[in-house]
Amino acid sequence: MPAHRDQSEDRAGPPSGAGPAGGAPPPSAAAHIWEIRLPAVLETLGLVRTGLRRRLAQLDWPDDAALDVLLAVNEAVSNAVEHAFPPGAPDGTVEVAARVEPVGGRRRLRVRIRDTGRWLPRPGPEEDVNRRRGLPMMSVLMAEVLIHRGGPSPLDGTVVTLLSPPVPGP
Amino acid sequence: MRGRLCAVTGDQAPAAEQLLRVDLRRAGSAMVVTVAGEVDMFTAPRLEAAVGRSLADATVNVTVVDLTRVAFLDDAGLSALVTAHRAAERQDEPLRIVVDHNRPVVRPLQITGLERVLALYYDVAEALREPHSSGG
Repeated sequence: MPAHRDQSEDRAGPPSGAGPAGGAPPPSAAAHIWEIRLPAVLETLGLVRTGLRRRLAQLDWPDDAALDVLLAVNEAVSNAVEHAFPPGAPDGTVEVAARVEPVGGRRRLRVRIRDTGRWLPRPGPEEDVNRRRGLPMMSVLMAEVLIHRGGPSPLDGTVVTLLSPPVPGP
Repeated sequence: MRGRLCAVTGDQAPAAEQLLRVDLRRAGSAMVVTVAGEVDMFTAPRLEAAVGRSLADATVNVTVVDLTRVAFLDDAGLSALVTAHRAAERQDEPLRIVVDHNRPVVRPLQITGLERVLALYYDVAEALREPHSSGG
């Protein structure tokens, strides 16, 4: 299997997009607060949850809202792991990037889940009627769910963007 | 199935057995399946197998699944519960799921409407106490 050299980037450091030195405080609210890239395999689900859970705790994200974010992100990553890659395709990766955005004195989380493959059609209803809750769950849990499917090449990728409901500021 | 995590992250990724612990315990004619940890697409087969083992045991009349120590439950876990619930219904044997107020379990059950489908209980004693009335 191909090497995944850059498998885990858990960047919790200062925002890279900070303004010039000595200027106004960095626009931390719009900076990436957490990123990770992992192989699109089942074990990745728990690693993504562990990292994001820890980061949300550091941000004092309310427990109930944090659980909703974890549930929604987990379903998006599950879809990527389960459906992104056609049989025989090289192993792919899943990237998760989260940032905090201010909304009228409150804050919300924008999470982008990107894979390097394309979601395949789900199996027919006879065989899979019991496994179709992922997308509806994301829609209920989040304020907005955007799904951008890539072009014809399997490497074009699928990008899911989740916008959380706003929560009180820190 | 694609390859598992290779060396670099293999060190970080716990095995399914560490992420989800499942115990089966007899209580008279009932079986109590205690589940602790995180249920996701990776670990849900362990839950499904354990409950399936109880349902397949002809000497077991009631299967109780204790989820009060589950810290995460996703769509794959919900599907495992629904599959088990249907199998139990087919053999007219109750499947009782103990959730108490454990939010990581209650929340996904609520938003999917499955709280109205599955038989939910507050504690194991309550689930064991209820008589088995035919037809559930």
